[in-house]
Amino acid sequence: MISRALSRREFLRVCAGTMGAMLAAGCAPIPATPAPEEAVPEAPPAKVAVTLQFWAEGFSEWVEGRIDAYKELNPEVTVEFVTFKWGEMTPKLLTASAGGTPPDIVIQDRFRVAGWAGRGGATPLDDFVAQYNVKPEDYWSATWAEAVWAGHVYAIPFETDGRFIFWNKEIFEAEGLDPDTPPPSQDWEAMIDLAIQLTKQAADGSVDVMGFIPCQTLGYGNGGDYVYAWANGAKYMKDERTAWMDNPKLVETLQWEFDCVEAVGGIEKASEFSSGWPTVAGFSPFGAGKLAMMVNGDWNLSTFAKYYPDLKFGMAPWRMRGKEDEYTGFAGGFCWAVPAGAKQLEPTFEFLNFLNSYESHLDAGIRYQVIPCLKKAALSDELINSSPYPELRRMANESMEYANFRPVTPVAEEIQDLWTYPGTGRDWVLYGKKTPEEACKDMQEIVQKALDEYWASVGA
Amino acid sequence: MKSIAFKGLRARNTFWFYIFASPWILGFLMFNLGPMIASLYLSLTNYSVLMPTRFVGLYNYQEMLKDKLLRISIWNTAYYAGLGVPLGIILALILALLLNHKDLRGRSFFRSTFYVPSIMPIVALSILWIWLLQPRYGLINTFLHFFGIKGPNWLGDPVWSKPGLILMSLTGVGGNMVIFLAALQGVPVHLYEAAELDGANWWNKFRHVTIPMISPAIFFTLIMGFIGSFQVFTQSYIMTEGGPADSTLFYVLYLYRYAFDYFKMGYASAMAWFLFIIIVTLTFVQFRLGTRWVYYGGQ
Amino acid sequence: MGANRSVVARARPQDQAVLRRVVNLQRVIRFSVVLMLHIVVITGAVFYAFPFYWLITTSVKPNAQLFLWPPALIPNPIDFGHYVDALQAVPLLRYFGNTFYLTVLNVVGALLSCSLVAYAFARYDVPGSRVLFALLLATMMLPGHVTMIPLFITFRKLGWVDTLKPLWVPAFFGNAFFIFLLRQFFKTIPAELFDAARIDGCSEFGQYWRIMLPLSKPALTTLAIFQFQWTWNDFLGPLIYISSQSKKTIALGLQDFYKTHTVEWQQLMAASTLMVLPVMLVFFLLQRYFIEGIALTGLKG
Repeated sequence: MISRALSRREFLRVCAGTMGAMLAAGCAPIPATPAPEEAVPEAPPAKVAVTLQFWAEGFSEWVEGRIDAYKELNPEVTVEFVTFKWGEMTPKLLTASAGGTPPDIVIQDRFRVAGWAGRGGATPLDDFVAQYNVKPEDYWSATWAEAVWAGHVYAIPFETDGRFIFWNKEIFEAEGLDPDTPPPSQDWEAMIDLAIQLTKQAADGSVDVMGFIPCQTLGYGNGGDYVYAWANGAKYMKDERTAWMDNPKLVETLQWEFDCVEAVGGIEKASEFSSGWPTVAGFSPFGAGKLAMMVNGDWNLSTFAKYYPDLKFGMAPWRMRGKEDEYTGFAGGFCWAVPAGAKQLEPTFEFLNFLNSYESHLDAGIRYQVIPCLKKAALSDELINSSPYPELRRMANESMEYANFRPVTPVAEEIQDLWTYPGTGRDWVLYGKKTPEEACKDMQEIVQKALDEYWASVGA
Repeated sequence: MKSIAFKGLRARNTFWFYIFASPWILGFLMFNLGPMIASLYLSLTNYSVLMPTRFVGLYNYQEMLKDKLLRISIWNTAYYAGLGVPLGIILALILALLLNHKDLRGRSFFRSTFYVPSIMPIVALSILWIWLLQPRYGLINTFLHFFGIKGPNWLGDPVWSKPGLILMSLTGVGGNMVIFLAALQGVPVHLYEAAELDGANWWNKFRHVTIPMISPAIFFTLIMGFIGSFQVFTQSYIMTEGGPADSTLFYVLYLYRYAFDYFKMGYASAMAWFLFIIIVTLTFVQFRLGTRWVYYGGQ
Repeated sequence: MGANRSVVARARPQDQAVLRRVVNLQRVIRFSVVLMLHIVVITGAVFYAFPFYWLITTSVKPNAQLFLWPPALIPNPIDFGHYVDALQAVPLLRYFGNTFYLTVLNVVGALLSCSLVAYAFARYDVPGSRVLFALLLATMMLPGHVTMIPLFITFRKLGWVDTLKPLWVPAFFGNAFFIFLLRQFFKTIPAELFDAARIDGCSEFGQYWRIMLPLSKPALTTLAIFQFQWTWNDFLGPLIYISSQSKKTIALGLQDFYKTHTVEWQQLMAASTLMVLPVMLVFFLLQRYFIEGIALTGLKG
């Protein structure tokens, strides 16, 4: 039934394409009227009215600004934009793709690209790259890596964010520590000792000020789990077809996270401390002075400026384990992609090219205080100086040079769900249900199975 | 003569039944039957929404048997439904009875008050309850503190996360309360009077007049309560993401992940049909038992 | 039942003192019961009113107070600016309009179709009716996520995907939840009423229209309130079928407050407050139909 439905879908697509072409042809062409000052000898060729569908999770102000600017240059193009909350676009996009009515362009999570593209959900952008002379080396290599699958480009990196260790300078000072020296993230034992030292109990036995909690759901360290694994030299995949979730270095990482939580009072105390702070920007125990150190994203710079302007804090990259002078980082973020089955590739590519311009990247970076994937925009003085904390912003943006990226694999979602958000696998260990070895072994089983099923279904 | 008249009556009733039921029958054929059959077929495939589909027979169902997290999700869901549904219905019934009392002043105001939480947008309610269930400053634990009880770390403790969500659901009983209020209107007053003449006190009146007369409504809320609770999804999706440590990993949340995050809609469809069988069985049992205690005044 | 003043007056003098004491005792008992009733109800009401109270107070908190830990229960000062911001940041009024449009259609459709179908199930036990009833319930037992895509494809084939039709046309074809609900209510109406009407020459449709419906006002009101609330708060349907900002409903529109790395909390709460008000209003207005009882005196039970 579905194979028939597919061919029916293709049939519908052909019909729609034909209808679209007929409609386009039938539409009255909009001649470009020459302005009085310009002595144009003849009217330029008539352009056809086009409507593009653009879906994204957030970024609405930037997109609307770009659409307005684009409209002035290309009045015949109407871009219909819809925005969603993070995570809500997925069922809609899948349903629309299945039904044959995908949007023309979307803003996607970059780590999802391989899963999408690997299953035929995305339109290759090799032609776009060639036509508009897009050079991969202009982008942070970590971000470009996630946009490529099986030798084809499926996305253009848009913006990214990193993860850094933050520390509360006032607390450090009170403890007799040098507030301007970053915590010793290369020394995992020392970090535990520091966490213990900086944790203060309240009168009723619960934690009043927490020293450090390494992980996502408990410590607002969105994505920190990846950073520690990379700092330890761990890899999640051996190759395309083999996962390596039971990598001894991943086991060590989990063990360390467990030890850390145990050291500050155990999972009950830690989760008691973290409960009730919804893990979205704005609610921040760190900002309120109740968390001494945390691994979190650079977007906190603008959060702190807005909600905690008097906070004295430091921010630094996380170090490779055992190496004081080598750093590691995380590159998250979004990209633009064109779903498979999108029909109006030419106007879409043109629009994409407009979005991909230096001005657009810079505009988004300044507006949202995020790191553009285009290096030139990310390192521009204009962007750096627009930040409330320019030196920290510069450090963050420059760190993208050596940042790591999540494994580019069709099972990236499974890995992320287990490892960090919501962190089912990690929580097995933290809540004492499994040892790190068992947890990693079980995670390996799940991920490998999903990987095998993927390769089987692709027929390879 | 009588049998011909009876047959004529039967035929006429049948005709009118189908006439009256035709809107739903048409709708069923158009909007329900196709998708249901499609999803049943898809459960026998490796449908990923994006890729060409391949028939795999009972592979998905076999995999479900081995799926440890699936078992956990079934337990979580049964726990939530098994506790939440009866508690919710009892509470709704009590509220309806209280608010139906003839001596209560300001009934309209109170009714609205009790109903409002059930109509608030779930995003707002989720934030509120994350805050209410906060172990140190949340109002629930502060309230318990008055009685000398140290409240647990609700949403952060695998043991107490489901009770926390059940507690949250209890403020949403406004809907059932409304149904019971409507049902209470339908209890003929003369039955109460007759019972009083026979010397019944309030408990007797409640047990022998009220309950039987509103039993169709109670039955409804029981059936719908279980059907709904077994498909609980939104709270855990927004508030806990299935945590902590899978304690709020409900069945439909798990299903959702397979359907949309892992591109395994075939497996998700198999999960859906398995849940379907569970709910059908449960409902069937309730209907069987219902013949014993549900009283329809119209028969 | 029991003693009252007329009984006391008519009693023999020697019994009057005792009877007077009984009357007073009864009055005291009744008063305490009513007092207890009010105490319990008021206590409960405080708990149930709290979510809405919290919603409103959060929406008027100034920025500085939002992230206080522990949170402040009484906002001071009160800042209605967030409402203005919300209305300016997001086309809330248009979303309200879209939602209202869909909601009215859904309520009308549900009232019409569900009452008809429930009547069928309640009144006629004929060949096929039990199977169909089982099918009716069965449609509610399959999680909607797995039928979403085939249903979308169905609507695609009907050509409805770029319209709002998928969000209201099905309401005119019945809804299992309401059909079941009404069927339960309808079955409590005694069959004799219909038999008598039929003997008087009332048509089948007339019995539905002139007997069943008027007697079912509480049930129908319940349906209207529920359907209003459901459509008003419905999120998944609009998510899948609405693809332009201007057509969004308010439930979907709330997502506009979730920005890239932040959430505009107070604006979200302000919008949520505004969103709740119409439903509350509808409920408040329709409430009196609960009070109308069914007078069935004179009928042999």
